[in-house]
Amino acid sequence: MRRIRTEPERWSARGAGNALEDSLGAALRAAADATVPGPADLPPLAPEPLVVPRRLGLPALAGVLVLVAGGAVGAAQLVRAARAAREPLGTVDVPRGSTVSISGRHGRRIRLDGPITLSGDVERVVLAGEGEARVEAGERPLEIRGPSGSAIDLPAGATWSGTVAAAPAAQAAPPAHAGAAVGPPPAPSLAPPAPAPPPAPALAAAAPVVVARAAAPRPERAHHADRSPPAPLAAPPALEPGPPPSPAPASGADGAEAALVASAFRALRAGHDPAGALALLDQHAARFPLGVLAVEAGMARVEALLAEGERGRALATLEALPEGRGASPPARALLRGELRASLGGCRAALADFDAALASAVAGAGGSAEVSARARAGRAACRARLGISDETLAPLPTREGVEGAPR
Amino acid sequence: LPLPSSAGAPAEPLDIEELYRQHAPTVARWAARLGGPSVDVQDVVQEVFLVARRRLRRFDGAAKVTTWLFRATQRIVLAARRKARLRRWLSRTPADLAPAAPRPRPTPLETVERDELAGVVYRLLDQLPERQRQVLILFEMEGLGAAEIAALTGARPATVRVQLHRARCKFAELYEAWEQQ
Repeated sequence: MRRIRTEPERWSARGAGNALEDSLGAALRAAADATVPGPADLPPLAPEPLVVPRRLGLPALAGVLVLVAGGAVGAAQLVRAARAAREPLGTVDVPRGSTVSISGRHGRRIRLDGPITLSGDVERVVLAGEGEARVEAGERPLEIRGPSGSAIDLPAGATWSGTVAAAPAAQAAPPAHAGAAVGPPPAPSLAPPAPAPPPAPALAAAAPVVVARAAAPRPERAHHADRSPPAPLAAPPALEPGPPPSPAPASGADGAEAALVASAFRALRAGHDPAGALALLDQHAARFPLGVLAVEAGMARVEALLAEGERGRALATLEALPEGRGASPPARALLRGELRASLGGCRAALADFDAALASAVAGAGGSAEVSARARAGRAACRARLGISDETLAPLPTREGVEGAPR
Repeated sequence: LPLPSSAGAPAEPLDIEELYRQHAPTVARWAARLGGPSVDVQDVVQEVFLVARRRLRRFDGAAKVTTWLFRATQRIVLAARRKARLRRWLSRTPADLAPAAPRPRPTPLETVERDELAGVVYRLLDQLPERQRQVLILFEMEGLGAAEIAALTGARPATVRVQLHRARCKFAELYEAWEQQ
């Protein structure tokens, strides 16, 4: 084979001569001219993305398998636990006038939310499941009294169902707050049994009737401050969830709602108290479930949850919000994409980043920062989804490098 | 980490922002030339420097920074072209989605004609083997010599010359066939 020792003359640089080579040169020059990057092709250096692509390999595969196996075992245990929870835990006879405090299964202490004092003729507490209890009256009426003095009179043969708080063995948990976390704690879950219809005589003895049932407790917010917050987002979203409402709006219910939401924003941004803001937003949700500022309150909740490090809940809240109000469309799409990406949902996040870019280009309130972050997030997700291995350029050795590139 | 700069200047600590300032235009040019009109240059630049940011601490200075960045650009462009090909195949409109105008811009007639010709060139280039395609682009469009191409790609200069020869022969054949259509 003939050895090629010299470089040929460039078609793109040669003068007139062979017709084909002239034509080739013209075509290549056109291609070179058409691919000169402009200033718009040099975006600002994006900040470090939330998602750090990792090289996938056998360790990752093994990890996934372990997770899948662990998940299957955990799911089986959950199914068993759910089945067990449906079965009554047992029946305990309670001495007259005593405070109920009962040990349930699995070595956990279960106490009635109160504590509750039983007084009457015959008392029995039936633990229908962890977190619920039924108190059955005997042949004579029974009175159940809560700590704040509220009382329920049960007719003979009737049943009261209430909430039981489960607490670790050596610790008496405080009463769970139902509803808003601000303000005085509600009375223990004793509800008057009056509205309940009387049981049918034939069933009264054999099948007790539930007279009233207290609301199930919500997850406690009071412990937020005690938790060590998870790692914050690498680049906290600087998104504006719409202007906070004026603290002194028109009047009536709208005014109260706006004042509440404004207080939440103040607690969040001026007071740097996301837990307090969440409490106020809970209060808002309880008082104004269909309020006109539900979207603004939702965005405030997202911001507060992010400040608390609760990315999963923030994403769920954001996804539940209707489009059209609150933050601008690109900003909201960007935030959703970043949250999804940080929680492992890169495929869904890609669509969000694309939407953020498209909205930003269309001038729907996007800024240069939104575009840059959307591009960075998209690049990181793409890398995580498949380009990662290829983009990790092997480092050539010094011996392999000859001459300096242009 | 101190390492020699690409120009052989005194050793300097490697900083991502400085790296970006110095090399982003070069990376953008490589991306545009290697990828052709079907590749989003901004995306490639972002991805290259994303990789650079991640790998910066592991960079031991054994190679030139430009060589390192070129390798990353080359791989990212290759992946982007694969995706573009897949999209074309899925949409089954190769002529529409293959290299059209590089980017939307208000263009006079000459610019349109030039971009169309550039689209043809890249369609023909896509029919070459990847190595040959790359060498031909770097030689004809970037104006690099065989030694410089070898430094960037990690091949021997003699190998580059052989690949260049084959690429030119093949490309000339393809171009002639296209002209006769």
